[in-house]
Amino acid sequence: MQLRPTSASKALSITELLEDILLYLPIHQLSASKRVCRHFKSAIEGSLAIQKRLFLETGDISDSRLDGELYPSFQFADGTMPLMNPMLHEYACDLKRLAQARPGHWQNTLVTQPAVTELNVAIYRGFRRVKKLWNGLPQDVKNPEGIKIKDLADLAINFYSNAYNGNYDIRLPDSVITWLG
Amino acid sequence: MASEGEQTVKLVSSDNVEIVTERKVAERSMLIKNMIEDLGAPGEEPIPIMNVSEAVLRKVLEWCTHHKNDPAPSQDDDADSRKKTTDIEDWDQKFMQVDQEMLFEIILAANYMDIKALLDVGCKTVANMIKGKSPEEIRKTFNIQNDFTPEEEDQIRRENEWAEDR
Repeated sequence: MQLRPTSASKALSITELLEDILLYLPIHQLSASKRVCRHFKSAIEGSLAIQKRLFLETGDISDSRLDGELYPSFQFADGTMPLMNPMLHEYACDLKRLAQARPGHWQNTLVTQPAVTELNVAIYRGFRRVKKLWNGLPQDVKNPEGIKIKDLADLAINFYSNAYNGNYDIRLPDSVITWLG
Repeated sequence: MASEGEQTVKLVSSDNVEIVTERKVAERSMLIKNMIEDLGAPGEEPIPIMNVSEAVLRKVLEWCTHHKNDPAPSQDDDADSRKKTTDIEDWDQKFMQVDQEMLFEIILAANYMDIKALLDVGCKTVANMIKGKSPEEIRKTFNIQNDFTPEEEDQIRRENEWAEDR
């Protein structure tokens, strides 16, 4: 016997409607929802708006479908502030934890929206901000395609693997130099 | 001659029931608004709403009646609310307390009749039903077949581990 399709299956099979619905989900759940079925997976992977919400494609700050927090110490030349990737939030003030975090797919996401291509990290000794360390270790991150969490993690791993830096800590950058237009 | 606010239009549902309603109410639907403009003589010729049954059409018109005096949406209404929240105003929330079949019928009708604000409320309502649910629970809620092999599903789970362990 052929079951009459429900209005739910009819509506969810329309990719634009499914996209509209999924765009309201918090980003960690949005990505996990790829597991529901093939149609969900291809809708999520095929939607530019969703890819932007997931910090996988660079987006415009005025796009209301983006999620994240304004990061006040980041500021562009025109005075606007980018959104920080919510997945980075818990590591922002302690990049040492990011160096120890489990690598994975989540680290392929962009640090901010819009994506930045170059940024400095802030170095601290205790509570005191240190201007610059002259030991040749990289203190800035570059990625012409937009800086990803992995780029920051690599820098943190590099920084903390050096015994000389035992007294220092790095935090999320407080100034952004250039960003993807 | 009646003023525009008092004009009525005749709609015909997919199951051939005629419903007379205020023009202003009906014009919450861009589909109907455009049809009226194309027809030129509102009120005389019945307007067929091909994909929407009487029960759903009445429900949609109930929403349109409540919202008939809402300001017209701006051209780019996505931009004025910076964040997309799933907050729904009380009246709409009550309005959406229907069974799942009707909920999605309303969404399909809003999509077909081009009533963006109603479509948004519908999508938000569904998003709120999904929020916090695991993929398995989402399948159960909407009766969706899992068409992945266990290996494929495992692969996707691994790729999204950051998402799952939060």
